[in-house]
Amino acid sequence: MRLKRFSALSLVLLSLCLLAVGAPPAQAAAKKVRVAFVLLESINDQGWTTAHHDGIEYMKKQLGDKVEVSFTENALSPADAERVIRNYARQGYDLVFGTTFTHMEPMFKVAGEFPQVKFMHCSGFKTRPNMGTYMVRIEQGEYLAGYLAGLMGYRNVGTVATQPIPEVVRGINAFTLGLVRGLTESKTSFDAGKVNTIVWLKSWRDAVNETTLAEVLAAKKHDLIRQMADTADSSKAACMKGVAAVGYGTDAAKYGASCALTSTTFVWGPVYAGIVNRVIAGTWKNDELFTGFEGGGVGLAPFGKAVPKAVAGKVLALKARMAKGEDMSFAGPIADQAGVLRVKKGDKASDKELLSMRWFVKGVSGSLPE
Amino acid sequence: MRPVRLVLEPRQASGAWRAAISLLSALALAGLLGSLVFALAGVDVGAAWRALAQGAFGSSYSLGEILVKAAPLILTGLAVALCCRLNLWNVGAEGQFVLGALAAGYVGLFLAPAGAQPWPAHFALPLALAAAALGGGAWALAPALLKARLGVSEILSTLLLNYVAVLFMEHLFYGPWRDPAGQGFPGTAELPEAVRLPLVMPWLPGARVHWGLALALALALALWFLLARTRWGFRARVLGQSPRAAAYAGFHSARITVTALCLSGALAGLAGAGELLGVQHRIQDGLASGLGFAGIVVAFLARLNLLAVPLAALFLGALLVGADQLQTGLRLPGAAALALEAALLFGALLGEFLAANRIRLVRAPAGEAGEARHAS
Repeated sequence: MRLKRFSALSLVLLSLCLLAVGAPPAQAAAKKVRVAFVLLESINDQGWTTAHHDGIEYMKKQLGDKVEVSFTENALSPADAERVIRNYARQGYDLVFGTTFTHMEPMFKVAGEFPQVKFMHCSGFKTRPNMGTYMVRIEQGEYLAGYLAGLMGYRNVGTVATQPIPEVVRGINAFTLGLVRGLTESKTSFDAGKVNTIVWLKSWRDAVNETTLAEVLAAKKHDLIRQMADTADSSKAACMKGVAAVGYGTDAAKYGASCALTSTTFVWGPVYAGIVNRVIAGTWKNDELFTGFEGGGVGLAPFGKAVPKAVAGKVLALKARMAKGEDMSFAGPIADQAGVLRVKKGDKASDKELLSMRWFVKGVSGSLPE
Repeated sequence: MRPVRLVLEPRQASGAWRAAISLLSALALAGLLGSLVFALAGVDVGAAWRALAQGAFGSSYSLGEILVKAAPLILTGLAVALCCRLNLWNVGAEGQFVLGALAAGYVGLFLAPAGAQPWPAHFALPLALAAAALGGGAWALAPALLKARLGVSEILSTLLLNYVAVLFMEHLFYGPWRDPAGQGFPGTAELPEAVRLPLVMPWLPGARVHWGLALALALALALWFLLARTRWGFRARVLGQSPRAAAYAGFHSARITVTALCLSGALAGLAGAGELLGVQHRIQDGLASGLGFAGIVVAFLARLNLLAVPLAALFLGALLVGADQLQTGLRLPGAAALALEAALLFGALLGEFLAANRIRLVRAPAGEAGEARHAS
């Protein structure tokens, strides 16, 4: 009797053990990588954060049920960002993205507290064994947009610049270098010291002043308005004044700037999909990623109606070379505004130089506010 | 049938009764408006409130974060409430917050670094706090003088100076105060250890509550004492309730106005210092993120009662911290937190209105009704 009961019990236990042994593979297959994004503004800001959100959606589509994704908007203050980042880490997320420069310090701090969680920070320079960085080579798109404008003969560009940080400075420089190349190729005469005039918005988004500054530049006979702010408002203002425009961040034409020749865009999707895939495969490292056309990190929005076929062909040919890894956006010789040679012939500006750039190339009219 | 009219009349009720009516209707209205926001966003209203509570009170970490949020909110709430008791509107707490942070930052960046100072290291923090109070107070001085001497509306002058303050701060951290080791990015260097507000629980990693909270609570008590128990406080309250009576009694109304506004600015300045020295440790983008404006919500939620300000600050802090969960748990947009904050302010204002006034339904007398019909 007793023995019977014992054997029954062991049978039950044995089958339970078998079940338990059998269970883990099933669980492992269902285990998703949990990924969180901390976003600067709202996902419909039409610029920086919208571009990141587009990237998140792309990544979700690529990876399907292999990932579980969450994000938090409006982490403007570093103090709030720290709380949000730490909450994700505490909740057992595997990978947390900080998508703006001011998330660097809080992320660096939290990454020190949670060595088992992986962190990726956009546009900064601090790393840890479990914290890498990523940024896109926006200057490649800038160079092509400038080249396009130059080929079309625009020789007096007015730029509504945002904040004087390296990303913006090297963007202005690359646009100007491309512009000069285009003007030279199209044999347009131009003032070598002044093809691109900079005015500062001193903000990332300020719809009223974006419009005002664009209108002022148009009134001063600039023939193309270069938008750099989050919203498409300076491009739209240019269209209203009958002046050409080039958008920034996301496709300005999508937001009503129908006259935009093109827009340089941040394309975070492939970058995000790549990083998450490496986490899934177990090959993630604390890389400092810096991705251009070769990795699909930047893009040019579809060209406007005003762009001639021949011009489009030339620009796309250059883009194809960039996609193969050839980057001529900061190829020497490059002189600064004072005429001092900054990059020698045959050289290229280093990544370190690009990521901390604080000088303007020859052809830019305007200065860095101090 | 005689038409029915709505009649508003002043409520004859005791202070405690009015407080209860105000608070309850404030919470009810905020709850109603909040539920409306949730319903419009297409989520289960009950689940949303549960998520909010879970986010705010679900862990010891989130409880600590409420305290972190409350510390500056207490001070900016006090700043707004103090002025309102004198019938003054300081909507410039945000700018005074910034100037306080800048003054404290100046001490930290340029006076406190090791070897630079001629005084013992433990003087650095009190000096930074004093500088912050002075900075915030000084930022309120111009509106105060304009108000006291020329009758210029302090609402406009304090509001507009907010923008000047933020631009000035940006000028500093993009320009002369930029961290030389910051690779071209905006923001100052990290402040030295000597000027930082110590943590309350330094042994607990990630627990960010700092001693600025205790300072804020002590100041709430001190300010209550000042207003309720001192001669200056009595005069200030008389001035707030009836400027004519104050003038008749021979009080120096102009001087009291200037003192109160500057004191208010000093409180907001200390809030900025607390945020800088206790939490962020460097001046950069996002340092001023609306804590000064949120002080208005706190002050009215507390019904301008200085001792209730800390409670109101905790309440708003819980709402803001808990709202994280609305985003992560329910995928509501980040704007939901702002909508809830607005609902709370509307609730508080309407609650105050209902506490002060009674709404009655009155059947109009027959004659009057006839007139009304005639008029239409």
